[in-house]
Amino acid sequence: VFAVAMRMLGREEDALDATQDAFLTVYRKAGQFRGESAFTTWLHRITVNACYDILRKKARQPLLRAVGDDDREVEPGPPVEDHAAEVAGGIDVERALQEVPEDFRAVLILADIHDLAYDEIATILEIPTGTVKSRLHRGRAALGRAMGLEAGPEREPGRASRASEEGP
Amino acid sequence: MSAHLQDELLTAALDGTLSAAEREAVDAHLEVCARCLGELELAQGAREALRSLPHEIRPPIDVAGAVSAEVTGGEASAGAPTGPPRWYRVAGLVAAAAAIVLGVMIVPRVTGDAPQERSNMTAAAGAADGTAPEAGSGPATSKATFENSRIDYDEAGLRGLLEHTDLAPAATATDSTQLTSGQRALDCVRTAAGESMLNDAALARLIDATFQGTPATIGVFSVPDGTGLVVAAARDDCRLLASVAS
Repeated sequence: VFAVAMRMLGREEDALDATQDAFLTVYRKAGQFRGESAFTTWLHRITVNACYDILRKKARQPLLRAVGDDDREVEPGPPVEDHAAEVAGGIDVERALQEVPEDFRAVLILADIHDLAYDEIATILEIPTGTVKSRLHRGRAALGRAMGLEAGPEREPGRASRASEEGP
Repeated sequence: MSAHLQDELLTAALDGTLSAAEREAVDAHLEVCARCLGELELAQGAREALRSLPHEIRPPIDVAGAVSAEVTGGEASAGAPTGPPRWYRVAGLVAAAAAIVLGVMIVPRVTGDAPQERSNMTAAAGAADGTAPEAGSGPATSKATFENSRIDYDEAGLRGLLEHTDLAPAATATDSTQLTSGQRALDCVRTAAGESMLNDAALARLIDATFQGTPATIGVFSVPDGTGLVVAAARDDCRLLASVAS
């Protein structure tokens, strides 16, 4: 729960709030969980919704947010392993992830970090499976750009003789 | 095929979920389309980077520690009227919610997965409703907190617990233990109570104590209709020692 919230929100404080909200909801609604979906799906949905609530709240208070935010940006928490290079790379990824629009970010987190199936993500986010897949691609592309993975504009076209131009 | 590959196809291409026909079309297109190839490579780099990240991020320990110290040292205040400080709430809830998560995740185990584990226990009712949720491997539940208490409970003591089926953790010492021992303890309580009794109940507290001198695990459950249920199970053979309901 906390890991999803941390990556959705980018700030520890917000992630703790979301975690708290999510657990409160779990407690309140524990009786409503009937096993029609997997428990993890249900828990993910509650977590993601708690994150969206906080994002909405923050969007409504842009000034407050500007004041308190510059001290702590993305702190991905103490990493479990400590291979220095890997960790540094990880932090860059985490930071870049915060630049991905939130709807895409949610799909990225669930699919590529938590390895959930398209269908399950569709259930969690209440969107069609096709939308999951298209958001996943757009999210990955956005993340790749944020990480500076984009190749230069002069890149070689495959091994084709005619470069692809716009249009069919 | 239209100008460029659709986003969905690019995703499926990376994740290996294309059909054979789609695969062929995608490959053919990528041969001639630098833009789609670039998109695919970009997405692939991002995908690999994400997959190398750890699943889990631990909540900051200093917060949990600070708050738990405060909980241990402060007043019991199960029903404090004023809003407690934020981190107090966080720590209390995380502890309690870990127990709830544990409680729900335990269901499939109790309902059928591991009969050998309780062969010598009293027989529980069969699968509750046939649709047990899958046991997810929730990283957030690697530790469950439950309470150690030196109190020797009796029926009246259990009744006292009924008044606190809310989320407040005990003011006495709490102890983090491995999931497995927490699981076993909860298993025991559920076995003692019988499945049907706990169908809709959410675990509020799990207490390691004694009941009239017998080492026991005491589960405090809250039922959605607002009532509470306290079950004491013998630690050695999971027999029901006592249960009280409000």
